[in-house]
Amino acid sequence: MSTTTLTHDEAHHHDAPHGWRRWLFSTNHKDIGTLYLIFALTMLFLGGASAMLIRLELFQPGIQLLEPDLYNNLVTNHALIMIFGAVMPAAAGLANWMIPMMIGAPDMALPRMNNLSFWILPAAATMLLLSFIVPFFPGGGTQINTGWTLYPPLSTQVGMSMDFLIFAIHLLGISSVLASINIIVTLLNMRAPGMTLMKMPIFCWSWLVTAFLLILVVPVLAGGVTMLLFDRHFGTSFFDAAGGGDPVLFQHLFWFFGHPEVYILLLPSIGVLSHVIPTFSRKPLFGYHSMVGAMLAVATIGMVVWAHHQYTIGMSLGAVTYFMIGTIIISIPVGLMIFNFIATMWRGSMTFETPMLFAVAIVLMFTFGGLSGVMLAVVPADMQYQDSMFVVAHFHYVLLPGAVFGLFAGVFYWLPKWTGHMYDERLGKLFFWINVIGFNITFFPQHFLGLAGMPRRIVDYNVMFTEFNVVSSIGAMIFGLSHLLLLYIIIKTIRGGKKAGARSWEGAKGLEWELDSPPAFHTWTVAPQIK
Amino acid sequence: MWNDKMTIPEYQTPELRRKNLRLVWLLVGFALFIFFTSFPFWTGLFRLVGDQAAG
Repeated sequence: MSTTTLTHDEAHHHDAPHGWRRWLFSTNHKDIGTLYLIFALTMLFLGGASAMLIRLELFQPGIQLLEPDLYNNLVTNHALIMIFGAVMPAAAGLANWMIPMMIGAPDMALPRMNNLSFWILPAAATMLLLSFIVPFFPGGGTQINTGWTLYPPLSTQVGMSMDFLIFAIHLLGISSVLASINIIVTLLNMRAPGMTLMKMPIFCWSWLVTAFLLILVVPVLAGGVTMLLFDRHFGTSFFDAAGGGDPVLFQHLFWFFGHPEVYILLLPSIGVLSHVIPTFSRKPLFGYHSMVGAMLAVATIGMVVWAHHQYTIGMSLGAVTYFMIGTIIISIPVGLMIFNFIATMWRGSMTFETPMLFAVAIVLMFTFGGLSGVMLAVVPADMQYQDSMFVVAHFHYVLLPGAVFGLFAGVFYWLPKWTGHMYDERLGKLFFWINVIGFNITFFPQHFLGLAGMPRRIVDYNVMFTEFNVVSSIGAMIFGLSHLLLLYIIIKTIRGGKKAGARSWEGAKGLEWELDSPPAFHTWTVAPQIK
Repeated sequence: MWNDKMTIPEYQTPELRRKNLRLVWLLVGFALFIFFTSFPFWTGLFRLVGDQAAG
């Protein structure tokens, strides 16, 4: 990182506006960041509740609590809520809070569009929840039993709830694209004088790459679901074989979005780790330039390997070979990031506060998820694993450590900056251990279930799978309930606690740590000079 | 509705505002281009892959 000369600090201590207008009409990046984070936490609990219902049902073989269609709808909702409602808004919350402070900008480049990007989200979430609720009413049609992938022909046959979902996806997409445009413009045009792109903090780089990815792939998903809508209501046959279309086309469209979406979820957390690990290792990040290169490589290669989600559709040998090799090649830049993290820790003066505990756990567990990903990338092996619980175990090992735990690390790392109070470290560590142990009890046995042949997205299962399912469900209850502790820690920190200094962590470096904790309502109204 | 306390417009010089908006429209255009081309482009690519599999 660069050194700075503070010509003028946060001198403009305007009073923050009060009441509901402050939040509804807010154009302040910190307030909008807070709104995003509150929204994401709310959706985390909704998505988590649906996951706990799923695991309660799977506690025993046979049908206990949920009808099959309702079970499948919960599976659909769990994924959509977690991806679009929890992880992406949480990452956007961190971006809103931190990017202007990190690059020495007074706010985002387009503050009013920032407000719009956020306030589309509650509308979209309402539509998403309505898609779940509508079938309970007379004439409401069938539950959405397609899973989050919404594959036709099933999705063309579902009742009106699918239309609610399609519009929810359109709204979520518009929100994401607007937020991405704002982030790109902010990062390219609003950096403090002297802060070249290669002096920009890695978290900002991770968001620059993520934002471009979003603009590239979200419109394709929008195109896909729009075609689905047309097939459902306007007599087109994009995905209808009887009319000359083909349902596999939707799979290509969906996964052209869906695979880069994995990196959209992961990269901001990689950005967070690139700050947490150097801070608690008291060393600069090892390989800044290679980290930037690796993120660009992941994004570029990740754009062109989507069909590894569709090996079983009957592609040519040449096509599956290309997608297999491309997928495995991604492990090179991802491995480089992991080695950079390990090299940063190497011979550092490490301490293990909660963010660092999460960071170390991520390095271990995300690597594990990546390895099972290489197994799934191999075509003949994937023919056996596909649509089994092994896949569920794999992507939860990738997305929970890779995305969610990274966001937790970021929240614990920056909570003192946001609130002006240190969180209760003892409770933070307790949360970490319960959370990580609960996670592993939940998802590790699912590898064995998948390898033994248990399919996913099935409400009932053979009695031979009972033991591992019991263990997994018990783990899920521990894991799910542990998030109440997270909520308690956050509320407790907001309400009070030990005062946090401007540089809340001994090893923390960067412009954001030059500001007070909590920072003034407007910061960097005069840009700092970067040497 | 909006006020200076919320937006601190003084940091947005006319030159910066023009620069920002120029990039915004470029990116909006790019997103719309991806959206509209996704229909024929992906249909064509899909047929190409399908023909290759059949052939």
